[in-house]
Amino acid sequence: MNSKDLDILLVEDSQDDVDLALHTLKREKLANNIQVVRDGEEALDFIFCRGAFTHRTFEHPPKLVLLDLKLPKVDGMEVLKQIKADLRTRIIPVVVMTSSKEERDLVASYHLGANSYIQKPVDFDQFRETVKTVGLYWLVINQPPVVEPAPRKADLAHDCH
Amino acid sequence: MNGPSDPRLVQRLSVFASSAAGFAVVAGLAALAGWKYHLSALDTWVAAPVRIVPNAAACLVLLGVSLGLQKRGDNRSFASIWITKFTAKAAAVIVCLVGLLSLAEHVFGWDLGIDRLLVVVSPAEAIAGVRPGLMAMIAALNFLVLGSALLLLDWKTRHGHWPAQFLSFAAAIGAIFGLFALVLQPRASGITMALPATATFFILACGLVCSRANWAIGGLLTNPNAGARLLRSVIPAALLVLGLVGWSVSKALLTEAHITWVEASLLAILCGALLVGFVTWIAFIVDRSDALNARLEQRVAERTVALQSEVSERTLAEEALRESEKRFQDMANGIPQLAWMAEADGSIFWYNQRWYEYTGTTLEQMQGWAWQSVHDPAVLPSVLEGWKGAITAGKPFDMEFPLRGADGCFRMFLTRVMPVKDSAGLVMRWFGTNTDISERKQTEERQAAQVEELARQAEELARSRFALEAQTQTLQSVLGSMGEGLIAIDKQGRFLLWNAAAEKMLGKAEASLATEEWPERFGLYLPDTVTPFPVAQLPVVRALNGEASASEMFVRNRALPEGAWIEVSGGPRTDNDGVTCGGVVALRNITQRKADERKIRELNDELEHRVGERTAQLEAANKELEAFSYSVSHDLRAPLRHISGFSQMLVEEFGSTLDPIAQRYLSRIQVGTQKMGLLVDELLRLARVGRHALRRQPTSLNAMVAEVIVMLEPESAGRQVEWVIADLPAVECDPVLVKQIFQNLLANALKFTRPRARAVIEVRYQQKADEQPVFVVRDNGIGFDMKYVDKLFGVFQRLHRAEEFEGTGIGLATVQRIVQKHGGRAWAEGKPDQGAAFYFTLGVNQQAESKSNGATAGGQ
Repeated sequence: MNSKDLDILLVEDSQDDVDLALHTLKREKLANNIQVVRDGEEALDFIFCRGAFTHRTFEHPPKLVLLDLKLPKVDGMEVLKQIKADLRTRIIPVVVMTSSKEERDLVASYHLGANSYIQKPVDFDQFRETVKTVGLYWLVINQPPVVEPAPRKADLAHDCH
Repeated sequence: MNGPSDPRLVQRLSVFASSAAGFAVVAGLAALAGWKYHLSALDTWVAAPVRIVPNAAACLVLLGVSLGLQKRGDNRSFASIWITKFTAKAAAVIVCLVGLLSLAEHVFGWDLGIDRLLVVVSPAEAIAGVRPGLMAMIAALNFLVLGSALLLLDWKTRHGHWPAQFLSFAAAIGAIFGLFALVLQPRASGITMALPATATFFILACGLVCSRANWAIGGLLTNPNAGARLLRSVIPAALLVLGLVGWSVSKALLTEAHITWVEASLLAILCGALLVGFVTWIAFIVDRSDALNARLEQRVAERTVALQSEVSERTLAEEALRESEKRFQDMANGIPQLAWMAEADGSIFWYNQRWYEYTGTTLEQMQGWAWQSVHDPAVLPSVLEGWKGAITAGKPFDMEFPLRGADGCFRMFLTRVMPVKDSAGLVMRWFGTNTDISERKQTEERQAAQVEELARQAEELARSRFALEAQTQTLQSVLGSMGEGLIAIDKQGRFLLWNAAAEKMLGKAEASLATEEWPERFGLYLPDTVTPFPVAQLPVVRALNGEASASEMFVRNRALPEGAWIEVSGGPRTDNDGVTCGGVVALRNITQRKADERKIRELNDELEHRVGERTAQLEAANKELEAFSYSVSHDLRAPLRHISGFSQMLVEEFGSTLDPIAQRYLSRIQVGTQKMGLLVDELLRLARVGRHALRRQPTSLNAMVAEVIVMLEPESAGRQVEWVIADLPAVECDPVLVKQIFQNLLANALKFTRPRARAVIEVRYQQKADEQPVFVVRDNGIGFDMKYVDKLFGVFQRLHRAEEFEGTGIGLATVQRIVQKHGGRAWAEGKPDQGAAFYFTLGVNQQAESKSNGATAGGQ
């Protein structure tokens, strides 16, 4: 495992939530390399190596995406949809972590291919526990596939540049 | 005497006549030629001193032509007949004139120049007074006679065609006289005529008679009678005798008695004539007797034929009689009656076959008066009396009496006897019949009974007619007073009935109005109110076709200018055999109903419109609420989480530096945020119930309750809790929502039994007949005062202080809302410190499965 590899892409618009999440993740020493994006568009740019993230390549996807649903510009559902609709990105684990526990959000997320759906608990202890469990599971316990070189390099290059 | 001539003979004589004519023409022409070229052989024939003069020769030719042209039996055209006849008659006239003028020259010594017509006289001869062209006196006379005969050839007097034939006869005598003269006194100048003339005269005379052989003299010769036959055989001989006798007598007389040749000739001719006349007279007599004979024979033959036909007729008549008698007997044998025939005195000689069959007797046993043996002895005397009286009077006899049959039983017979009379009115025979009338008698009795029955039925009929009339009147008044129009028609579409209501709706029409004219006449339209109602669709027409139908139509006519809606229903009327014999049509004025319907429709439309509006409003509100609760779930919880998170971090990271009071405040903040989080979650749940679409499905409540109990284990941990769960029935409900009910109720029960050392929580159900099952969750907890029961199910309503029992006051409100969503009801019972019971039902659809299913569910 390369140290440059990104551990978590945290998609969260609220700075408070970002602080709480980062605080927890760091305290638990689960992730060294965390990228925070603050809206849906930025998230997509990152994932698809474009905009401010053209320097990135598909060979180094994040190990986990923690995705809030309520996001400025492009909402979380759309982000999820695009990640899971593209062959190059669909293997990236996406855990929806949001305040709501609306039935329709749950159903829609799983339908779009979310790997997990978690409601952020109000109680901070519970919140910490939850984040810790998720991080532990996806970054440590879960065994991701070895990423193959991209099957269609030209296409990818075109997409990235 | 003039019987029909033998046609073959007539034919032969006719040929002879033609030959005679031809001979005359040839002889005349030959003589003319002889004269012209001095060939004496042609004009004298023998070397006689007398030559035929040219005039005479020419006249012979004319006579021949005239006779030839008057030949009978020619089938020529009318015109040519007249031309020939005229030519012939003209030739005859010329000959007559020549004869007459020549005779006049001789007798009166005149010189009329007739002799010089064809002869050139030399001057010497003229001076000497010699007239070589003058024909002999006898010749002139003969020409005159023959010419006349030919002229009168077909002239018929009262006695027949005698004139021409007599003239011919005379001419023949003249010719004979001329022959005598030629022989006896060849040089007698002016008297003697040449041989060709003499011979030709004789032949012509004979030919003339022959040309009309079935007339007069010819008829005498040619008829088939014996006289004619005698004449035909005698006359040639007579003529020969006459010639020879005359010749020798004349010669003798001339030399010895010194009489002149003329006298001798005349004598000879007279003798001949007498002979011929005598023969003719005899022939006439013979002929008459012959004719008489023939007549007699004919009558005998006729009588014979008559007799023969009479005989054969009689034979036929006898046969016919036998035939008819046979037929009669056959017929009499064929009739069903007994029949018999008796002589005039009444003795019976024949019975028909039926008689023998019925009485079982034979003719021998019955002949004469033996028939009395089959009579009833009691009745016999009166029968005999009547029958004998009829015989005496000769009048028909009628009587009814019994006759014994072969079986020994008497049956009643009607006997009729008719006399058969001859033309004189005398009875020849009696013909009798006996007709079996025992059946008729019985029939008469039966008929009498039937008549009585009929009278009874007639009376009954009269009674029922009276009843019918009364019924009819009732019906009429009912029909007249009813609000529905009623029309009855017969098979031809004629109106039988048309009540007042029908008249009010359609007006009145004559009974014969054809159904095809209904739409126009009554103003019937389709529901579009303008298209005339199609005739074929009219209920009345369909009724006649045997169909029942109903339709609505619009009526607009003079009686209803505003128009009206009527509902018409029609159906066929059938007779007792089920055959359509007309139709009945009922009319109902539905104008008011139509108007009502329209109003209702308008109201409905309006209502629907309003419902739609309201629904849209509700949907909008619902959407708003949804958006609100979505926002709440996101945006309300996030700050709480932040408060909780940062205050926690404050305690953890800076707790050691903080004042204990500050630390206590921070923990208060923690608790507050937790409460707030619970509150928000509960509220969201309540809101979700409202939005949640009800999805009923068969649900096992026992399994559900078991799950909830497991979920509640953290609450009950370390406590002594007894769960008493009954066998609950499977119900049709929304499992997500109903689970929430049990969750809330069981959590409440756990919570409020917390002071109890041993908590008992029951889940049961009760069901009364025809009612929804009632579920109940009961506990032995702290209970509640019933005066607060109304507040129990309100939102944020609590009966206990938060220090005693935590809670948001939303749980029971959520239960209430879910129950209501199912169409059920929720209520509670309780007493302070004595437990509480919460009841609920789940609406009409809840009971789906049988109780056995419930038992299975309960076992889980």
